[in-house]
Amino acid sequence: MLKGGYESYLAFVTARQPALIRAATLVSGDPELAQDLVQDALVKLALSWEKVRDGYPEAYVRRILYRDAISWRRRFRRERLGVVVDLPLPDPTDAADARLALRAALSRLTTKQRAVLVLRFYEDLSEHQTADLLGVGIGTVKSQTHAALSRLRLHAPELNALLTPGVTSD
Amino acid sequence: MTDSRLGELMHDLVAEVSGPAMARTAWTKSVRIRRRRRILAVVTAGTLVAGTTFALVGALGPDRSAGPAAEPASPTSTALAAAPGEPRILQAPARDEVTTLPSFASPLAELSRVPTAATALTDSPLKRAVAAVQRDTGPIFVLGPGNDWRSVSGGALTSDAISPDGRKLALVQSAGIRVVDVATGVGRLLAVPESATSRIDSIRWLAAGGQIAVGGDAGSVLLTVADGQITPLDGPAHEIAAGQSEDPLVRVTATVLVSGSEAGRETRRELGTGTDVELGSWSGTARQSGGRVAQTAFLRPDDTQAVAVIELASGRVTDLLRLDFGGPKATRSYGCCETLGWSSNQTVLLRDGGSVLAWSPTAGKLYRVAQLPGTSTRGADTSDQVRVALAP
Repeated sequence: MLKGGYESYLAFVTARQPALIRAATLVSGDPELAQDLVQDALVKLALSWEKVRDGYPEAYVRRILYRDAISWRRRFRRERLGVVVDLPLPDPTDAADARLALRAALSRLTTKQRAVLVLRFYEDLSEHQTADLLGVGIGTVKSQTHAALSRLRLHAPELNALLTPGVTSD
Repeated sequence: MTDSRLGELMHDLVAEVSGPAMARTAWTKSVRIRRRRRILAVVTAGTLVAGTTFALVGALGPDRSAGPAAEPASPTSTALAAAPGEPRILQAPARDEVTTLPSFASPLAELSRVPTAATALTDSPLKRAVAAVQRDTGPIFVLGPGNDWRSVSGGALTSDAISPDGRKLALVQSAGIRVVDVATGVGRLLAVPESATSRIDSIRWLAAGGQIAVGGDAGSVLLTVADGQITPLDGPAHEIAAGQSEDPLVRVTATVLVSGSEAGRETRRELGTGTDVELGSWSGTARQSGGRVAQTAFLRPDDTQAVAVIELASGRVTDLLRLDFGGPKATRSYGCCETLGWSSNQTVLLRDGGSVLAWSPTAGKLYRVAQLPGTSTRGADTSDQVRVALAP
């Protein structure tokens, strides 16, 4: 049953899965839902593996992952199977306060806003790359980024000390 | 925050997030899906060949000596065999065949006759609302117990708009919730600050009818109807079982029962587990009747829609109504189907596009209740332009 390009698929997924789960966790705000999203994206990747293995499978699977994460909320406001689990906090030091504030503030954003922030600042993609991956215009990326950052400032004033005017773009 | 600092914080936030190895499972699933697709392609091809042959024979003319051709059998819902412990599964007919389902005797059949104009509710109030319908952003038509229609404007209808006693409607506006007294027709806007919920996307009446849980992207609040007072609500508003509990801490969804306040602690129990049916996710409101909950589900791997009945005591999915997309023509679209409630005789009422259907899990039968005016069971699905609410 496990034949064809399984070996190369296994090597790719083994290398990239942890990063995909971390990104999905940031976008969805929920580690269990993130696993569901990654699992579904990996199934779709496997279905197209023969076509994309020699191209850019990383871009392919990320496109699926981010778009599914957004449509998951927008279309159906689905509930997921399982219980809500908080994101783990690595340690109780001062830095944890900032993480706690950021986590709470991220949860107040829409999924699309989180996706844009994650792509721009966590994945370090340009506005153009972000727009391409999400299938939206650059204007949308700009407006969503602006709205998301404004909301972060509103809901995490304790992080304001770290704020500087403007953010870098392309 | 600089972009680099924000990125660093995000990296820190998920530094220790991990998950089980998924490669083998995902690959195995893809193999299964490919095999299923191949089987489906063969079956489809066989059906096409048979259909073409049949059409050719028909074109050559019937054998008149054999008498009139028999009427084609009415398409109907199909009960699929269930393994012990697995849910009983009923396959709904294709969307364009639901009109051939047996009809279901119910006052809700009046939904087939939603008017285009009606006396205003303020001019002629009703004792209570039985159902309400809204097309696009037009007026809301309210059905009374005597099969009389009234109209009311000023807000968007959701499937949870009618209060548990049927005496009030909660309509969503951008500034908050407009509560309309059905007995007088008078409406009052209860403001909900944008910062509390962002865009409102769900409301639930609590059982006593005095409070409404209002939820949006940014959070949820509890709105007291008498004085418009707002209190923060911990957890999503859409998890609250419509009209079932006076305690906002007690939630019922098809996925998670029960978050109750036991000695101040929240307890949760998963539902819908222990079955081979791959329930991917859920949508809409969980509708409770006694010891059972009905809710719309999406099945893996292709997001086929279904309505699941779950036994609360065991958390087991006992029955499943499959509402398949309908092949290449995709006569059902994503989000086409919605669980509306239970009728008094333990029948689940649901909306399938513009059709209101009744499903008896016990009898394994599906019935047609009404076809909303302006909707069709053929062609593109425009059912999202019509919204329906039933009294709990």
